[in-house]
Amino acid sequence: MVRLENISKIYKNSTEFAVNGISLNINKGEIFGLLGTNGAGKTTTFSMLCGLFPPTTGEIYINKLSVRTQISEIKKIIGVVPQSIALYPTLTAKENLFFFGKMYGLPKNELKKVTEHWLKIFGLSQYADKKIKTYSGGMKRRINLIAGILHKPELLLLDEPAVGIDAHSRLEIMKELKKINAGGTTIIYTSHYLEEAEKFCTDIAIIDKGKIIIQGKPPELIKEAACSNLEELFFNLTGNNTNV
Amino acid sequence: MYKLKASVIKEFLVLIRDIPGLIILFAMPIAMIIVVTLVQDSTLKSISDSKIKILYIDNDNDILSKSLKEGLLKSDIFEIDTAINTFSQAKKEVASGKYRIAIIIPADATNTIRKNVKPIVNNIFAPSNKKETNFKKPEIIILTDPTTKNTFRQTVISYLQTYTSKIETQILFKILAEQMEELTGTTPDLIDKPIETIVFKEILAYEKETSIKPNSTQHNVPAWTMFAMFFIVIPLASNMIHERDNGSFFRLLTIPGNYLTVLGSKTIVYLGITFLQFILMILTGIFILPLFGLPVLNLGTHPLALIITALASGLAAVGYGILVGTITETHEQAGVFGSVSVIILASLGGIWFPVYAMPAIMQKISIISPLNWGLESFYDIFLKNGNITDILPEISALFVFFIITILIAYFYEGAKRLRF
Repeated sequence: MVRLENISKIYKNSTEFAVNGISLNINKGEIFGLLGTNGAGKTTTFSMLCGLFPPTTGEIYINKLSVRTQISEIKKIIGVVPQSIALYPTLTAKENLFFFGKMYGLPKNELKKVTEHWLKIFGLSQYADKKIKTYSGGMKRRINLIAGILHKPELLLLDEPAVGIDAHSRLEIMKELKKINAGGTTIIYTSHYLEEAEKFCTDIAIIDKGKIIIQGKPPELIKEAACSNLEELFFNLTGNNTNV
Repeated sequence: MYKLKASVIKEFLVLIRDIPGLIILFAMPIAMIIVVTLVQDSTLKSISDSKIKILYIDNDNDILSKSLKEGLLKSDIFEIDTAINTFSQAKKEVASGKYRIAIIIPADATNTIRKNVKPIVNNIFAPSNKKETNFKKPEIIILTDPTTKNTFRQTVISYLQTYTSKIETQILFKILAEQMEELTGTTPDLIDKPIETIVFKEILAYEKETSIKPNSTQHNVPAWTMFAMFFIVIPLASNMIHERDNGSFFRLLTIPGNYLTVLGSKTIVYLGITFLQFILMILTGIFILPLFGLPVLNLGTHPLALIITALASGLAAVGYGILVGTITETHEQAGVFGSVSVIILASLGGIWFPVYAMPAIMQKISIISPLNWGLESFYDIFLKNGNITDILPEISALFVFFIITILIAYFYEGAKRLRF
């Protein structure tokens, strides 16, 4: 589904690699975790996957389409949930979702149905007409997620989707993401919450200083390294405490 | 069209929920147009409404000082105060700002003029090498507050000079008449009023027949309408930066569609706002300004030309706002750059000071300001009763400016991402 071929990125006015020679193969139906500390290169990789800017070298393919040359086609099949609350704070939840849904080209009737469906699933129906700026952090995160899945994308790209919210809201979001994945959507997910990733992801890659240092299925990786969990494995490999 | 409509609705909702932004867009220009038009209505008219207090020290106590005082009172512009009678006290009062102006008539001023009459009459018949040139001239001292603006000072001094010159002639005639009476024993008819042998008739050189008369309303309404329209740059640029900061712009970039849809929706909504500003300013000129005793705005007889000018000016303002919103990174940058650049363009464009009165170099530079093009187009309609053909050069320039700014913003945004 997604293939990264030796991609590198050096930002303008920088001599250092933000991403350095990453190659990955992500299969359809996977929940793939791109894990690492802040500044490891996760968001840069995520942005290149979204087609926001091209890699300095290397190629990215999604459904055999090149991100560099066929981004318009790719945009139709991906859903993006950025790390920031990418919503209009003075608009209500419904107004935000209607706007983004229409921008994805969803017809009015269908949009109304899916909006109501997701608001109900995430327990936000009664707040649908409240402005986003009045929402709690957890509620905003949920609307941020809904805005990225309204059009039923084949590939969902999530950049730290549950960062900065309470454990209950996080658990609820992850539970729903599992259901979305079960419905056939491939998920690429960046996070520095390793405990959460261990439970959530089918496959992971750990990035450090722009390079992948390990990749595979979490239980296998933990077993091979004779560690008790992903966090211990990560610490052994990088010398970093990820939650700091 | 579906996406454009959705985007327009979103822009509209975001805009109407930004109360401070709406105040900037509507209330401030209206307040500005009322205040500035009242102030500029006519320097002397506004002076007469409030009456300027003049400290008047009469050390002459004769025809000159009495006539000048009488004339100043009659003018309805000045209010005379004679409470103080020494130069040093007067200087102190003016320096402290209590009076803007003090006039000190020297002792024997009228007598000095009287003494000059005989040599003046003799000079008429004397050969050129025997003419008396060494006249003693009474010196009227005018004390002015240094904080008083030059233009105001010059206006008052020029008024005093004109008036004293008339009085001087009157005195000369009066004394001449007295002397003739002494010589002939008969009293000639005294000329009480200054003789005016020349009158000025001003004819406004219109190319077309019109009932339009230039006045402060006809000048100020279009000028401040242009200024208000271009001030849209600040909320528009701020809206774009806010969209970038909160990540919704990032999300939009990951959605299929053309960036021109985003720019198009902003253009439609903000163009609507500029047109609404235009209508409000027109209504202010017709209904509100007359309440303050100002002339009613005359719209001319070409409403279509007026609407086209408003739309072309609005497009230019929106294009500039989108460009500023694209090239600036923060609210601070957009606020400072947006407002300062609009003020510079407005100054160059003749919003505050007429272009024809600017130095030659500035007149040449002024043609780069889109505010100048819009203002000239409005003036063609409001002051010369111009039609669409008359405004074609200006509106074409405004439209081209809009296209150029949008294209720069479009390509700059694309290039910005490639530069990462």
